Amino acid sequence: MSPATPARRRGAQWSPAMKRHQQRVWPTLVVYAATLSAVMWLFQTHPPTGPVKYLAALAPAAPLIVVVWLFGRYVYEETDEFRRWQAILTLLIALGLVLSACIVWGFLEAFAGAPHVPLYHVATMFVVAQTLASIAVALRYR
Amino acid sequence: MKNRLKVLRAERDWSQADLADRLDVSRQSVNAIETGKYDPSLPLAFKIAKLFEMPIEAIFEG
Repeated sequence: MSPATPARRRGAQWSPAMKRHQQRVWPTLVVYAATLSAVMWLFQTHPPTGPVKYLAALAPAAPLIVVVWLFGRYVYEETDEFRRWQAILTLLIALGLVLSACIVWGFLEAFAGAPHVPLYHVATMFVVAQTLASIAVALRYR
Repeated sequence: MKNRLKVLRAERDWSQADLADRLDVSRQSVNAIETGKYDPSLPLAFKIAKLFEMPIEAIFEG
């Protein structure tokens, strides 16, 4: 998931809330990468069974959910109302794009034989959508 | 929303950064408000009015 703070313009000074957001998101993404690598290795070499299987399967999701929560925390902590508005707008556009893409692909899967896409790919889709939304918002308010 | 922020700021020879510092907001906020791309909240509008010692309606028009 992108660590980029929504709608930060190139050259624009970062707010204290933006800096805190970056300082929180990057370590969380490192944890995600490490967890995902460990879980992939585990399932390839020593496939777990029973409750451990479920716990291990869910482990990579936890840091990504934390990142989602961190976006909310950034919005809550941002004291500059314009930057907060830009962040909310960026997130709403990104969520709208991902939701729309999922709906479209779901119907294509159901009726047109499109290949199945695992749901965890929404994290990657959100990164792409957020990047596009950030560009759109930056252009709108340049 | 149209406003006279740019004129009022120019009259005092303040840059956007100067005004942003006085209002405790980002320079981007001042720019967005001046260009009419962002309408400030009521608390920020009151803060702007207080800074320029004018009623809100003398700065912003609907």
